[in-house]
Amino acid sequence: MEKHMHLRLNQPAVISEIVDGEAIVVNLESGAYYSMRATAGVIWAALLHGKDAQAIATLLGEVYAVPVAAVAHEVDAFIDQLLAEQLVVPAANPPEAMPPLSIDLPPDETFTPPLLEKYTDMADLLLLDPIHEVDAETGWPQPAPKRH
Amino acid sequence: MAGDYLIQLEAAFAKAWASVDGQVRSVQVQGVAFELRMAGAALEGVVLPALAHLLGEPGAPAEGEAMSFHLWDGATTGVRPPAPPFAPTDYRRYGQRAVLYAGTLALMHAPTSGQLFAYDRSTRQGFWWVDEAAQLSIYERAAPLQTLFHWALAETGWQVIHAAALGTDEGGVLLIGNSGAGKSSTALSCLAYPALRLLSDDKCLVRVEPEPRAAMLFNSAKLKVDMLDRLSYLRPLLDRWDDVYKASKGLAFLYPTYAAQMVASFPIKALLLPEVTHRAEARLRPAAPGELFRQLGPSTVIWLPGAEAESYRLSAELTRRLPCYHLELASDPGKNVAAIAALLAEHQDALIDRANR
Repeated sequence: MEKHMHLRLNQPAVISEIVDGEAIVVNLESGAYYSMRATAGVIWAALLHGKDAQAIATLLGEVYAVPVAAVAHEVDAFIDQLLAEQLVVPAANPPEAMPPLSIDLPPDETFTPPLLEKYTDMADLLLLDPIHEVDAETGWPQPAPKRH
Repeated sequence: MAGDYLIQLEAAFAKAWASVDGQVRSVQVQGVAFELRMAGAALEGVVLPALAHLLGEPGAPAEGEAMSFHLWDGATTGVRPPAPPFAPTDYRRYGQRAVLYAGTLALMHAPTSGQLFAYDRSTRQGFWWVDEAAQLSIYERAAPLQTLFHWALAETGWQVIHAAALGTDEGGVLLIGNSGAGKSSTALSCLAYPALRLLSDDKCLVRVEPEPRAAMLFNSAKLKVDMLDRLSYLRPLLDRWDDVYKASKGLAFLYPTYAAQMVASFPIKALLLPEVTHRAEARLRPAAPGELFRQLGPSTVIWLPGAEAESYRLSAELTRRLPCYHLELASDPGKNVAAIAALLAEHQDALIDRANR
């Protein structure tokens, strides 16, 4: 748990909005976008409010009425995924004062392991685009072949 | 640095303008006047057809205080823009496009398609350079200068988003979804049915305040082969066909032929997520706002750089505020248009009921 201190959104490469409890996050560099619902959406919202892994596990324990120890490793593993996808980065300091975190769950919501759903259909379109090919040696994009 | 680059850019445009017979045209977009200063005859055929419905008469000055776009092509004028201040690593984003925001300057360089866009908020001047206009794909011809419009109109609350739209002056819907979802073909179907009119087949302007509203920016339509079978009345308007860029698609300009079947602007009443189901009857059922936003938000910001966080927030706000539905499409396009018209009539009736209470 100690390994995950405060994290922040990886701006400006990553943008996030939460709609109806679902966090939808875009990595503008990779073209991939992500959906986080249910438990994952709660963790994401808490992270953006500056809560560390320990505080999030405690929050989940309260919200879902489950033992903190039972959810702590799920939180750690999920945060590892977020870091690997470069959606969040370590923050030197916790964020300044923010409005209270509001978690509004349906009455029958139970704890399920958080799921990071990744979509690459946008990235695939970019990669398929023949006028945007990168030269393998220089890394600099090269023009498409002339069209006739 | 940004100021220096703009000075160099202005000088490059002045050189291009002096090298050829330039042309000035004006367009009006939702009450905002734009002056298009085009150096090089090659640009006319690339820029003007999709904006034809917004154009003033040749030589007519823009009304009021105009934003000005300075446009030139390298092939005709022999003038290149100053080297943009990017390192190779900056091109990892947006399909190898590099983007910079510095003070009032927004800059995008797309070297693979030979294009550079710049906009200065303080002077309300935009610049667009294209190396060879003839090489531009149908995607760029369908939505010319969309990046400059997106940047310039941000101060008015209007933003370009990725959605088809149809309705009437009283109200309409946005159709949201990626290629193949039936968004364009459903929107273009209304050209053959009088109940609703077309506002957009792929990109339109949207604002949230004071009420969610959509406006037409481009009169273009992109058509896949299978769409031409169903929308055969658009065949005579095909301007060009592109077999190289992604999927094969054709480009048609709908103005002035279909001017009477198009609507310039309407209040947005609902967001629809079309699904190809080949049902006998079209069916609408409620959708979660997140489902709509997952389709609308990412596709809008990935293709339209510039103030991404604000643009993303606007898309999210639309899905929070408006009713969201799945639209299970019928095989008969007329039934899809009728289902949307019925939904709009329901909303209109509900409004009248509320007003009478």
